[in-house]
Amino acid sequence: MIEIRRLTRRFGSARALSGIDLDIPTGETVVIFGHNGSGKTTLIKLIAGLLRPTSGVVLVDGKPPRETRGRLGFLGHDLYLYPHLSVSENLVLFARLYDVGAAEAAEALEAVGMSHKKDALVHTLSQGEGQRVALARAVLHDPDLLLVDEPFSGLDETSAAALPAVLKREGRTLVVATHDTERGKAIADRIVVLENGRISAA
Amino acid sequence: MRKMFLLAAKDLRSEARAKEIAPPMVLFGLILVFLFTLNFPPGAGQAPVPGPVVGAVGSRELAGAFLWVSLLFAGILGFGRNASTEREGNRIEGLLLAPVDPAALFAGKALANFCYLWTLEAVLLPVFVLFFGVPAGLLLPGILLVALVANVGLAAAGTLFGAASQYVRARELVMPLLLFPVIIPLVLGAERLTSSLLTGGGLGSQSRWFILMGAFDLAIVAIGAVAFEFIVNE
Repeated sequence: MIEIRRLTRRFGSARALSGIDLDIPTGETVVIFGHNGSGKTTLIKLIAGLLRPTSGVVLVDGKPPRETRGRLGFLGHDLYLYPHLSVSENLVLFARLYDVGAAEAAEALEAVGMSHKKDALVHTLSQGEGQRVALARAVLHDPDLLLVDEPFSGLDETSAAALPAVLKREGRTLVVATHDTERGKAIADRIVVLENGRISAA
Repeated sequence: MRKMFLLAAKDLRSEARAKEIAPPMVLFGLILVFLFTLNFPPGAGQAPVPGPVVGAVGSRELAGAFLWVSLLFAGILGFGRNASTEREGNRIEGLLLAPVDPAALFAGKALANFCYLWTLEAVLLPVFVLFFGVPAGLLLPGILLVALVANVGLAAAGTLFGAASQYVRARELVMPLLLFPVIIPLVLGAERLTSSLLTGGGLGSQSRWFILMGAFDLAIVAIGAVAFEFIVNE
Protein backbone atom coordinates (compact mmCIF):
# COMPACT_ATOMS: atom_id res chain seq x y z
CA MET A 1 0.00 0.00 0.00
CA ILE A 2 1.37 3.37 -1.03
CA GLU A 3 0.04 6.40 0.84
CA ILE A 4 0.80 9.87 -0.46
CA ARG A 5 -0.38 12.85 1.56
CA ARG A 6 -0.20 16.55 0.64
CA LEU A 7 2.98 15.88 -1.31
CA THR A 8 4.79 18.91 -2.64
CA ARG A 9 8.17 19.09 -4.26
CA ARG A 10 10.03 22.20 -5.37
CA PHE A 11 13.27 22.55 -7.32
CA GLY A 12 14.47 25.99 -6.32
CA SER A 13 11.58 28.31 -7.01
CA ALA A 14 9.93 25.90 -9.46
CA ARG A 15 7.13 23.78 -8.07
CA ALA A 16 7.19 20.30 -9.67
CA LEU A 17 4.42 18.76 -7.57
CA SER A 18 1.79 20.44 -5.47
CA GLY A 19 -0.47 18.92 -2.82
CA ILE A 20 -0.67 15.37 -4.19
CA ASP A 21 -2.97 12.97 -2.30
CA LEU A 22 -3.03 9.42 -3.61
CA ASP A 23 -3.52 5.89 -2.25
CA ILE A 24 -2.37 2.89 -4.25
CA PRO A 25 -3.51 -0.44 -2.79
CA THR A 26 -1.20 -3.45 -2.87
CA GLY A 27 -1.40 -5.33 -6.16
CA GLU A 28 -2.91 -2.47 -8.14
CA THR A 29 -1.48 -1.18 -11.42
CA VAL A 30 -1.67 2.59 -11.60
CA VAL A 31 -0.70 4.40 -14.76
CA ILE A 32 0.20 8.08 -14.46
CA PHE A 33 -0.41 10.11 -17.59
CA GLY A 34 0.83 13.61 -18.18
CA HIS A 35 2.63 15.83 -20.62
CA ASN A 36 6.33 16.54 -20.37
CA GLY A 37 7.00 18.57 -17.23
CA SER A 38 3.74 17.55 -15.57
CA GLY A 39 5.60 15.97 -12.63
CA LYS A 40 5.42 12.25 -13.48
CA THR A 41 9.12 11.55 -13.03
CA THR A 42 9.29 13.59 -9.84
CA LEU A 43 6.36 11.66 -8.38
CA ILE A 44 7.90 8.30 -9.29
CA LYS A 45 11.25 9.30 -7.79
CA LEU A 46 9.55 10.51 -4.60
CA ILE A 47 7.78 7.17 -4.25
CA ALA A 48 11.13 5.41 -4.79
CA GLY A 49 12.78 7.57 -2.13
CA LEU A 50 15.28 9.00 -4.61
CA LEU A 51 13.96 12.49 -3.91
CA ARG A 52 12.85 13.94 -0.60
CA PRO A 53 9.53 15.78 -0.41
CA THR A 54 9.61 19.51 0.17
CA SER A 55 6.52 18.88 2.27
CA GLY A 56 4.04 16.09 2.69
CA VAL A 57 4.69 12.40 3.10
CA VAL A 58 5.10 9.20 1.09
CA LEU A 59 4.70 5.87 2.88
CA VAL A 60 5.16 2.39 1.44
CA ASP A 61 3.48 -0.17 3.69
CA GLY A 62 3.55 2.44 6.45
CA LYS A 63 7.28 3.11 6.14
CA PRO A 64 9.39 5.74 4.36
CA PRO A 65 10.42 4.40 0.92
CA ARG A 66 14.11 4.24 1.86
CA GLU A 67 13.29 1.60 4.47
CA THR A 68 11.70 -0.68 1.87
CA ARG A 69 14.48 -0.53 -0.72
CA GLY A 70 15.02 -4.28 -1.06
CA ARG A 71 11.37 -4.82 -2.09
CA LEU A 72 11.27 -2.02 -4.62
CA GLY A 73 12.16 -2.14 -8.31
CA PHE A 74 12.79 1.00 -10.34
CA LEU A 75 13.23 1.68 -14.03
CA GLY A 76 13.75 5.32 -14.88
CA HIS A 77 15.14 7.32 -17.78
CA ASP A 78 18.65 6.28 -16.76
CA LEU A 79 19.65 2.65 -17.16
CA TYR A 80 21.90 2.44 -14.06
CA LEU A 81 24.15 0.05 -15.98
CA TYR A 82 27.95 0.13 -16.21
CA PRO A 83 29.00 0.53 -19.86
CA HIS A 84 32.27 -1.40 -19.64
CA LEU A 85 30.76 -4.41 -17.90
CA SER A 86 28.92 -7.07 -19.84
CA VAL A 87 25.15 -7.46 -19.62
CA SER A 88 25.61 -10.54 -17.46
CA GLU A 89 28.21 -8.89 -15.19
CA ASN A 90 25.87 -5.95 -14.62
CA LEU A 91 22.93 -8.14 -13.72
CA VAL A 92 24.93 -10.47 -11.48
CA LEU A 93 26.33 -7.42 -9.67
CA PHE A 94 22.82 -6.12 -8.96
CA ALA A 95 21.56 -9.62 -8.11
CA ARG A 96 24.22 -9.90 -5.42
CA LEU A 97 23.52 -6.40 -4.15
CA TYR A 98 19.88 -7.47 -3.80
CA ASP A 99 20.93 -10.73 -2.11
CA VAL A 100 19.65 -12.97 -4.89
CA GLY A 101 21.66 -15.34 -7.07
CA ALA A 102 23.02 -15.36 -10.60
CA ALA A 103 20.18 -17.72 -11.58
CA GLU A 104 17.63 -14.98 -10.90
CA ALA A 105 19.68 -12.58 -13.03
CA ALA A 106 19.70 -15.10 -15.88
CA GLU A 107 15.93 -15.61 -15.54
CA ALA A 108 15.29 -11.88 -15.70
CA LEU A 109 17.47 -11.61 -18.78
CA GLU A 110 15.56 -14.46 -20.38
CA ALA A 111 12.25 -12.77 -19.55
CA VAL A 112 13.24 -9.63 -21.47
CA GLY A 113 14.57 -11.68 -24.38
CA MET A 114 18.17 -10.58 -24.04
CA SER A 115 19.93 -13.83 -23.14
CA HIS A 116 21.71 -13.88 -26.47
CA LYS A 117 23.45 -10.62 -25.50
CA LYS A 118 24.60 -11.70 -22.06
CA ASP A 119 28.30 -11.39 -22.94
CA ALA A 120 27.98 -8.08 -24.79
CA LEU A 121 29.41 -4.99 -23.13
CA VAL A 122 26.61 -2.59 -22.26
CA HIS A 123 28.12 0.29 -24.24
CA THR A 124 27.73 -1.78 -27.41
CA LEU A 125 23.95 -2.19 -26.99
CA SER A 126 21.33 -0.19 -28.83
CA GLN A 127 19.00 2.09 -26.84
CA GLY A 128 16.18 -0.44 -26.93
CA GLU A 129 18.47 -3.30 -25.89
CA GLY A 130 19.84 -1.23 -23.04
CA GLN A 131 16.29 -0.45 -21.94
CA ARG A 132 15.43 -4.15 -21.85
CA VAL A 133 18.53 -5.01 -19.83
CA ALA A 134 17.68 -2.18 -17.43
CA LEU A 135 14.21 -3.70 -17.08
CA ALA A 136 15.82 -7.03 -16.20
CA ARG A 137 17.91 -5.18 -13.59
CA ALA A 138 14.75 -3.66 -12.13
CA VAL A 139 12.86 -6.96 -11.76
CA LEU A 140 15.58 -9.54 -11.06
CA HIS A 141 14.82 -9.51 -7.32
CA ASP A 142 11.08 -9.95 -8.01
CA PRO A 143 10.03 -6.70 -6.29
CA ASP A 144 6.64 -6.28 -4.62
CA LEU A 145 6.54 -2.68 -5.80
CA LEU A 146 7.71 -1.78 -9.29
CA LEU A 147 8.04 1.84 -10.42
CA VAL A 148 8.66 2.46 -14.08
CA ASP A 149 9.04 5.73 -15.92
CA GLU A 150 8.33 5.79 -19.66
CA PRO A 151 9.00 2.07 -20.11
CA PHE A 152 7.78 2.00 -23.73
CA SER A 153 10.12 4.65 -25.04
CA GLY A 154 12.96 3.32 -27.16
CA LEU A 155 11.36 -0.11 -27.56
CA ASP A 156 10.29 -1.60 -30.88
CA GLU A 157 6.71 -2.85 -31.34
CA THR A 158 7.52 -6.46 -30.40
CA SER A 159 9.42 -5.53 -27.25
CA ALA A 160 6.76 -3.01 -26.19
CA ALA A 161 4.01 -5.61 -26.67
CA ALA A 162 5.91 -8.10 -24.50
CA LEU A 163 6.55 -5.56 -21.74
CA PRO A 164 3.35 -5.96 -19.67
CA ALA A 165 4.11 -9.65 -19.10
CA VAL A 166 7.43 -8.69 -17.50
CA LEU A 167 6.07 -5.76 -15.50
CA LYS A 168 2.91 -7.32 -14.08
CA ARG A 169 2.60 -10.24 -11.72
CA GLU A 170 0.03 -11.33 -9.15
CA GLY A 171 0.28 -9.25 -5.98
CA ARG A 172 2.77 -6.75 -7.35
CA THR A 173 2.00 -3.06 -7.07
CA LEU A 174 2.93 -1.42 -10.33
CA VAL A 175 3.20 2.31 -10.96
CA VAL A 176 3.86 3.33 -14.55
CA ALA A 177 4.47 6.88 -15.70
CA THR A 178 3.98 7.34 -19.42
CA HIS A 179 2.56 9.60 -22.08
CA ASP A 180 1.77 6.59 -24.27
CA THR A 181 -1.99 6.60 -23.59
CA GLU A 182 -2.86 3.55 -25.68
CA ARG A 183 -0.33 1.19 -24.06
CA GLY A 184 -0.83 2.75 -20.64
CA LYS A 185 -4.60 2.18 -20.70
CA ALA A 186 -4.05 -1.44 -21.75
CA ILE A 187 -2.23 -2.32 -18.52
CA ALA A 188 -3.91 0.07 -16.06
CA ASP A 189 -6.24 -0.87 -13.23
CA ARG A 190 -6.49 2.84 -12.53
CA ILE A 191 -5.38 5.97 -14.32
CA VAL A 192 -4.06 9.15 -12.73
CA VAL A 193 -3.58 12.27 -14.81
CA LEU A 194 -1.02 14.84 -13.74
CA GLU A 195 -1.16 18.39 -15.01
CA ASN A 196 1.23 21.11 -13.89
CA GLY A 197 2.18 19.15 -10.79
CA ARG A 198 -1.40 18.47 -9.66
CA ILE A 199 -3.71 15.51 -10.07
CA SER A 200 -6.35 16.59 -12.55
CA ALA A 201 -8.12 13.24 -12.83
CA ALA A 202 -7.95 9.96 -10.94
CA MET B 1 31.82 -6.50 3.74
CA ARG B 2 30.84 -8.76 0.81
CA LYS B 3 29.05 -5.88 -0.91
CA MET B 4 32.05 -3.61 -0.39
CA PHE B 5 34.24 -6.08 -2.30
CA LEU B 6 31.54 -6.48 -4.98
CA LEU B 7 31.48 -2.73 -5.56
CA ALA B 8 35.26 -2.40 -5.61
CA ALA B 9 35.54 -5.35 -8.01
CA LYS B 10 32.95 -3.69 -10.24
CA ASP B 11 35.08 -0.52 -10.43
CA LEU B 12 38.33 -2.39 -11.02
CA ARG B 13 36.85 -4.65 -13.70
CA SER B 14 35.34 -1.65 -15.48
CA GLU B 15 38.67 0.14 -15.32
CA ALA B 16 40.57 -2.88 -16.62
CA ARG B 17 38.52 -2.52 -19.81
CA ALA B 18 37.96 1.23 -20.03
CA LYS B 19 41.46 2.33 -18.93
CA GLU B 20 40.09 5.76 -18.04
CA ILE B 21 41.61 6.15 -14.57
CA ALA B 22 44.95 4.43 -13.98
CA PRO B 23 46.72 5.34 -17.26
CA PRO B 24 46.05 9.10 -16.95
CA MET B 25 47.06 8.99 -13.27
CA VAL B 26 50.32 7.23 -14.04
CA LEU B 27 51.10 9.42 -17.03
CA PHE B 28 50.47 12.61 -15.06
CA GLY B 29 52.56 11.30 -12.17
CA LEU B 30 55.43 10.52 -14.52
CA ILE B 31 55.23 14.00 -16.03
CA LEU B 32 55.38 15.56 -12.57
CA VAL B 33 58.36 13.46 -11.50
CA PHE B 34 60.08 14.39 -14.75
CA LEU B 35 59.37 18.10 -14.22
CA PHE B 36 60.67 17.95 -10.67
CA THR B 37 63.77 16.16 -11.93
CA LEU B 38 64.43 18.98 -14.38
CA ASN B 39 64.42 21.45 -11.52
CA PHE B 40 66.51 19.33 -9.20
CA PRO B 41 69.98 20.78 -8.56
CA PRO B 42 72.41 18.98 -10.88
CA GLY B 43 74.25 16.20 -9.14
CA ALA B 44 72.36 16.60 -5.90
CA GLY B 45 70.54 13.55 -4.58
CA GLN B 46 72.41 11.33 -6.96
CA ALA B 47 74.88 9.94 -4.50
CA PRO B 48 75.58 6.36 -5.53
CA VAL B 49 75.82 5.05 -2.00
CA PRO B 50 73.42 5.23 0.91
CA GLY B 51 74.03 7.35 3.95
CA PRO B 52 74.35 11.07 4.65
CA VAL B 53 76.04 12.88 1.80
CA VAL B 54 77.30 16.43 2.33
CA GLY B 55 75.47 18.81 0.06
CA ALA B 56 72.88 16.28 -0.99
CA VAL B 57 70.96 15.78 2.22
CA GLY B 58 68.77 18.82 1.65
CA SER B 59 67.98 17.65 -1.86
CA ARG B 60 67.00 14.22 -0.65
CA GLU B 61 64.63 15.77 1.85
CA LEU B 62 63.09 17.70 -1.01
CA ALA B 63 62.85 14.51 -3.03
CA GLY B 64 60.42 13.11 -0.47
CA ALA B 65 58.21 16.15 -0.91
CA PHE B 66 58.41 15.85 -4.70
CA LEU B 67 57.36 12.22 -4.50
CA TRP B 68 54.29 12.87 -2.39
CA VAL B 69 53.24 15.98 -4.30
CA SER B 70 53.45 13.94 -7.51
CA LEU B 71 51.44 11.08 -6.00
CA LEU B 72 48.85 13.43 -4.59
CA PHE B 73 48.31 15.44 -7.79
CA ALA B 74 48.14 12.31 -9.91
CA GLY B 75 45.90 10.62 -7.36
CA ILE B 76 43.37 13.44 -7.54
CA LEU B 77 42.79 12.71 -11.21
CA GLY B 78 41.80 9.18 -10.29
CA PHE B 79 39.60 10.15 -7.33
CA GLY B 80 37.58 12.55 -9.46
CA ARG B 81 37.17 10.12 -12.33
CA ASN B 82 36.21 7.24 -10.04
CA ALA B 83 33.54 9.37 -8.39
CA SER B 84 32.18 10.57 -11.72
CA THR B 85 31.45 7.00 -12.89
CA GLU B 86 28.53 6.97 -10.44
CA ARG B 87 27.34 10.49 -11.30
CA GLU B 88 27.24 9.81 -15.03
CA GLY B 89 23.91 8.30 -15.95
CA ASN B 90 22.84 8.79 -12.32
CA ARG B 91 24.25 5.32 -11.58
CA ILE B 92 24.53 6.23 -7.92
CA GLU B 93 20.71 6.10 -7.81
CA GLY B 94 20.81 2.47 -8.91
CA LEU B 95 23.13 1.69 -6.01
CA LEU B 96 21.10 3.74 -3.53
CA LEU B 97 17.96 1.83 -4.48
CA ALA B 98 19.61 -1.47 -3.62
CA PRO B 99 19.67 -2.70 -0.02
CA VAL B 100 23.29 -1.70 0.48
CA ASP B 101 24.59 0.13 3.53
CA PRO B 102 25.92 3.51 2.32
CA ALA B 103 29.04 2.81 4.38
CA ALA B 104 29.65 -0.21 2.11
CA LEU B 105 29.21 2.04 -0.93
CA PHE B 106 31.83 4.38 0.50
CA ALA B 107 34.18 1.54 1.42
CA GLY B 108 33.83 -0.05 -2.03
CA LYS B 109 34.72 3.17 -3.82
CA ALA B 110 37.57 3.84 -1.34
CA LEU B 111 38.96 0.33 -1.86
CA ALA B 112 39.05 0.91 -5.62
CA ASN B 113 40.86 4.22 -5.07
CA PHE B 114 43.27 2.43 -2.73
CA CYS B 115 44.11 -0.01 -5.55
CA TYR B 116 44.59 2.85 -8.04
CA LEU B 117 47.06 4.50 -5.66
CA TRP B 118 49.11 1.30 -5.37
CA THR B 119 49.10 1.00 -9.17
CA LEU B 120 50.37 4.56 -9.41
CA GLU B 121 53.06 3.94 -6.82
CA ALA B 122 54.14 0.67 -8.44
CA VAL B 123 55.16 2.72 -11.49
CA LEU B 124 56.20 5.99 -9.88
CA LEU B 125 58.46 4.65 -7.12
CA PRO B 126 60.93 2.86 -9.43
CA VAL B 127 60.96 5.90 -11.75
CA PHE B 128 61.51 8.16 -8.77
CA VAL B 129 64.43 6.00 -7.62
CA LEU B 130 65.88 6.10 -11.13
CA PHE B 131 65.37 9.79 -11.88
CA PHE B 132 66.45 11.08 -8.47
CA GLY B 133 69.33 8.64 -8.14
CA VAL B 134 68.00 7.53 -4.79
CA PRO B 135 69.46 4.23 -3.57
CA ALA B 136 66.53 1.81 -3.54
CA GLY B 137 67.89 0.15 -0.42
CA LEU B 138 67.25 3.34 1.52
CA LEU B 139 63.60 3.43 0.53
CA LEU B 140 62.56 -0.20 0.73
CA PRO B 141 60.77 -1.63 2.61
CA GLY B 142 60.07 1.46 4.72
CA ILE B 143 58.40 3.34 1.88
CA LEU B 144 55.88 0.52 1.44
CA LEU B 145 54.82 0.91 5.05
CA VAL B 146 54.58 4.69 4.68
CA ALA B 147 52.59 4.28 1.46
CA LEU B 148 50.25 1.76 3.07
CA VAL B 149 49.34 4.14 5.89
CA ALA B 150 49.15 7.15 3.54
CA ASN B 151 47.07 5.33 0.90
CA VAL B 152 44.33 4.42 3.37
CA GLY B 153 43.78 8.05 4.31
CA LEU B 154 44.23 9.39 0.78
CA ALA B 155 41.81 6.87 -0.69
CA ALA B 156 39.19 7.55 1.99
CA ALA B 157 39.51 11.34 1.75
CA GLY B 158 39.61 11.19 -2.06
CA THR B 159 36.44 9.10 -2.12
CA LEU B 160 34.62 11.38 0.29
CA PHE B 161 35.56 14.68 -1.36
CA GLY B 162 35.39 13.16 -4.84
CA ALA B 163 31.75 12.31 -4.17
CA ALA B 164 31.05 15.68 -2.53
CA SER B 165 32.43 17.61 -5.48
CA GLN B 166 30.32 15.72 -8.03
CA TYR B 167 27.17 17.56 -7.12
CA VAL B 168 28.42 21.13 -7.43
CA ARG B 169 29.37 23.31 -10.34
CA ALA B 170 33.07 23.53 -11.28
CA ARG B 171 33.64 20.19 -9.61
CA GLU B 172 37.22 19.92 -10.95
CA LEU B 173 38.10 23.06 -9.01
CA VAL B 174 36.11 22.25 -5.91
CA MET B 175 37.63 18.86 -5.24
CA PRO B 176 41.24 19.97 -4.64
CA LEU B 177 39.99 22.97 -2.67
CA LEU B 178 38.12 20.61 -0.35
CA LEU B 179 40.69 17.84 -0.28
CA PHE B 180 44.07 19.59 0.08
CA PRO B 181 43.50 21.40 3.38
CA VAL B 182 42.10 18.26 4.98
CA ILE B 183 44.93 15.93 4.01
CA ILE B 184 47.77 18.22 5.12
CA PRO B 185 48.58 16.06 8.19
CA LEU B 186 48.69 12.93 6.07
CA VAL B 187 50.90 14.35 3.31
CA LEU B 188 53.15 16.08 5.83
CA GLY B 189 53.60 12.83 7.72
CA ALA B 190 54.29 10.84 4.56
CA GLU B 191 56.79 13.44 3.35
CA ARG B 192 58.64 13.58 6.69
CA LEU B 193 58.83 9.79 6.93
CA THR B 194 60.04 9.50 3.32
CA SER B 195 62.66 12.20 3.92
CA SER B 196 63.82 10.34 7.01
CA LEU B 197 64.22 7.19 4.93
CA LEU B 198 66.08 9.06 2.20
CA THR B 199 68.52 10.66 4.63
CA GLY B 200 69.29 7.36 6.33
CA GLY B 201 67.33 8.18 9.47
CA GLY B 202 64.98 5.22 9.13
CA LEU B 203 61.50 5.10 10.63
CA GLY B 204 62.31 4.06 14.17
CA SER B 205 62.62 7.61 15.49
CA GLN B 206 59.56 8.87 13.59
CA SER B 207 56.75 7.05 15.37
CA ARG B 208 54.87 10.28 16.09
CA TRP B 209 54.25 10.74 12.37
CA PHE B 210 52.89 7.23 12.09
CA ILE B 211 50.59 7.90 15.02
CA LEU B 212 49.38 11.13 13.39
CA MET B 213 48.76 9.41 10.06
CA GLY B 214 47.07 6.43 11.68
CA ALA B 215 44.78 8.72 13.66
CA PHE B 216 43.96 10.62 10.47
CA ASP B 217 43.15 7.34 8.69
CA LEU B 218 40.78 6.24 11.43
CA ALA B 219 39.06 9.62 11.56
CA ILE B 220 38.58 10.03 7.80
CA VAL B 221 37.36 6.45 7.32
CA ALA B 222 34.83 6.91 10.14
CA ILE B 223 33.69 10.30 8.82
CA GLY B 224 33.42 8.95 5.28
CA ALA B 225 31.38 5.93 6.33
CA VAL B 226 28.88 8.16 8.13
CA ALA B 227 28.84 11.19 5.82
CA PHE B 228 28.76 9.41 2.45
CA GLU B 229 25.03 8.74 2.67
CA PHE B 230 24.25 12.42 3.16
CA ILE B 231 26.55 13.45 0.34
CA VAL B 232 25.22 11.12 -2.34
CA ASN B 233 21.54 11.31 -1.43
CA GLU B 234 20.01 14.06 -3.59
